[in-house]
Amino acid sequence: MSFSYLNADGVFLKIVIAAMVTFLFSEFIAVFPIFSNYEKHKTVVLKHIVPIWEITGTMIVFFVVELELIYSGLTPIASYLFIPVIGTFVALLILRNVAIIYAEFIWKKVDSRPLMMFYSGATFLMVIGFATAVAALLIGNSVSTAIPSLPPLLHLNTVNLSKSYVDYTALLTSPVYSAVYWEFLFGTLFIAYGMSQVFYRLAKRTSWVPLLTIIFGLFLNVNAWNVVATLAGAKFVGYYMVLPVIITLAVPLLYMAKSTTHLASYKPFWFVAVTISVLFLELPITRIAGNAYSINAFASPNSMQAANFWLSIIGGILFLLLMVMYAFVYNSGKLSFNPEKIEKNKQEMPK
Amino acid sequence: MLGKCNKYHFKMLYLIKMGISYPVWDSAMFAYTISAHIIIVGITLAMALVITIAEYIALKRKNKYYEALAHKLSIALVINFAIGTASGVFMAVELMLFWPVFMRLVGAVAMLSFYAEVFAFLVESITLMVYVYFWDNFKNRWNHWLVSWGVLFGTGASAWLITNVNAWMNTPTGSFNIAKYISSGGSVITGVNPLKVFDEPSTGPELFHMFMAMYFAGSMALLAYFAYKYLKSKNDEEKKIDRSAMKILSAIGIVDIILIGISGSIELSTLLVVEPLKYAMLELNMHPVMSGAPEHLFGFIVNGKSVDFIPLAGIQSLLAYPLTKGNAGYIPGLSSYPSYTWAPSVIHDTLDLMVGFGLLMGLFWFIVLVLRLMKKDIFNMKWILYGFIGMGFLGMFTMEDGWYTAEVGRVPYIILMPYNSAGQPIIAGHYGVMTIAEAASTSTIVWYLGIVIILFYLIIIPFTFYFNAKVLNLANVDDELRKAEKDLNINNPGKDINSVNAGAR
Repeated sequence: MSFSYLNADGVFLKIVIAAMVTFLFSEFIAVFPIFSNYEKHKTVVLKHIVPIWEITGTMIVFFVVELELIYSGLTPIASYLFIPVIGTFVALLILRNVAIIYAEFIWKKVDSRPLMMFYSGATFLMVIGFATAVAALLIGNSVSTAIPSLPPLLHLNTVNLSKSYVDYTALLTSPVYSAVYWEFLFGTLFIAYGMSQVFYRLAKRTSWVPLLTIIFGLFLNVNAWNVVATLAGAKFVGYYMVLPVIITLAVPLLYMAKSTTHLASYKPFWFVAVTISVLFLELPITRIAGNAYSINAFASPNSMQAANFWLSIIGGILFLLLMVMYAFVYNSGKLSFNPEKIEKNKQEMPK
Repeated sequence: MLGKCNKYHFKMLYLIKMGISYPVWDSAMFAYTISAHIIIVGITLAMALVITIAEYIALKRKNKYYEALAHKLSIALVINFAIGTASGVFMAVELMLFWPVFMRLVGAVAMLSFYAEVFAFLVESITLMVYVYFWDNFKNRWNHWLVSWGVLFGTGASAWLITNVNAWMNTPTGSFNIAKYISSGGSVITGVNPLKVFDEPSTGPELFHMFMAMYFAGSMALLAYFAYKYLKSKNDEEKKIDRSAMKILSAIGIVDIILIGISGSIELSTLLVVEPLKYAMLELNMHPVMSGAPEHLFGFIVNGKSVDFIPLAGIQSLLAYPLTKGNAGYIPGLSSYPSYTWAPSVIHDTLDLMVGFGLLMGLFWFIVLVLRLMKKDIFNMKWILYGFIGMGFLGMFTMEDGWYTAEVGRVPYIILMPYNSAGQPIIAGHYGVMTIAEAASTSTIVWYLGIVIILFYLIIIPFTFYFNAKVLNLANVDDELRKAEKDLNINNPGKDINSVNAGAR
């Protein structure tokens, strides 16, 4: 197989999406501790969220720009199709930023619980909205070649783009679509719950809750994603899902084993693991709109693809170095996989 | 009858009744967005610069007032960054939703600058988080100071790379095959040189001037705040922090106003050569002149003729002469171009206003410099402090005015056509690559989104100021200074003239 800048750029975009989803997901799963018992969990939750929420915003910008750069032909279409959902997403992003700013910096003496609940709720809705838009983009089109009998989701009018729209009602109510959509959504919620127990170290090490909820979530998600990706025209979906399934199961299992509990909830490890999982789910996707279009049909010119490739390499290394620095400083300048030990050493240090 | 109309027709009727078409609405909304966004950007840039300088002085002199200043400003910077990010996302999305055809071309031709900006943005966000949230994790404080350079670089590079695209819009030479693009009706994009966006004829001058102006406006806004607080505060310790801030900001003001003057002159002379149509309108030149062109102070164009201006004989040629890059002597005029390509003549007046206010601010800073050289304590002179407050408003207004001038000067085009040395477009008969009307979205939803945008910035800008003031307002000065003492390792209050206890004595 010969090397193609476009294919490489496509993988870069998928890595960016995977990283963005992971950042968002790490905040998304905070909804459980925040809503269940904020006072009890706030230290551990805020320790992660407060330094990271800005980077999530940056990752969203990263995704938008990378998408516009690689698939510039998609911009006008996406613009007209997703205008309501994008508008809502941005409004929620702004509101959640304001809420966390108030909680962190302005109303320090006031109970931060309602603000953090608002922040968490807004993040939750952002993720749901994003997942819904992606589902609609992948599986449905008025000229769907996957299953012609399915109702159209994307009403694309290429002659007059202003008449294009997404039929979300069909997505949420039509038998095939809605079954897959709700299955995927609930599967994700179960996985998110299990992951929050591990990531924020809410469950006891010996608890079976994280593992069982994740297994149940996977049971729903594997089937749903298989249908979504197949409707989008993806091939070998099952093979690509092996690694994500192994990783998703490994996280709670490592958490249960005494020697690896710390590793499972170690933030850099978790981020890398989830990013790889999401990336592998994305890799087989090369077509959109119910198999109607190849994503490469919207690509930017060749010279731009090459330039994007090299800049991605340079920027990727820079980003990696920055994240290493972040992890290093986060652990008070110690390279260790045991956050508790670091914390303990820090407390024992002479004042 | 109205009852039978669908929503679309009702809205169209309403828009037509108000005299607003979709491209105009799109343009107005985006102009409004950028005008609001650059206020936050200017202040953010200035904050990053002041933080780096303040922490350096704090470490070098073991001065807790500068340390406290750097710490407080860094938290305010996080707030600005958060709001700036939200606003930036809003703008990125707005670009996509309001200008789909334009963004398609940008994506294929000039997107590399936006992409590089994302990495600058990542540098900014990660270093800022490390700088603020892990302040106490650094054993060697100089390493912490080094992180502030990441913030300074990230903020600066972000602003630079975004403005870069604007420079490309003014002179898109060699970045793609314009002739083919135009002859195909905008469907064929070939001959793309993605790196050219970083080096267009207007890039250097435009970015130099805009950059200096943004730093100046942001610094003056901060100066106004600290001067106001200094006048109001009754706490001596807090006043010392405000004074430290004013010292840094005054130095920035003096240096920057000189650089603004130089860069402004270079920018206008560059326009004369690379954007002659815009230059002709900016200077209200009706006809091309080879020598002795007068400067027109104010005035308008009415029925194709310039009126109500004050002429200053020979001044324009004199000002333009040294920097016209080989085109010396030739001053372009509007009569060389069809009237439908002329921008609104009000930009000539906004340019004069910008230059006038610039000179006024320059005069003020000259007086401040003289007073400093005479060893006067300018911070004890009330009129100077009021002057600082005035600078805050004037600096910001002038930056906005300049931005408005540059952008409206491109109307009716969103991307201009490159011009040859004879002052004519490289493709005869085409004065722009893309008009605003061609670029804009006609989706009905932009109308509602526009209303959301208006409300968003009407709320977010006052709130940004409120957030900043709230954080910068040192409610517990002693705590801040104690932390600064601890950070700087000032252990012996008895010997240290900067200590909290010494201050109390």
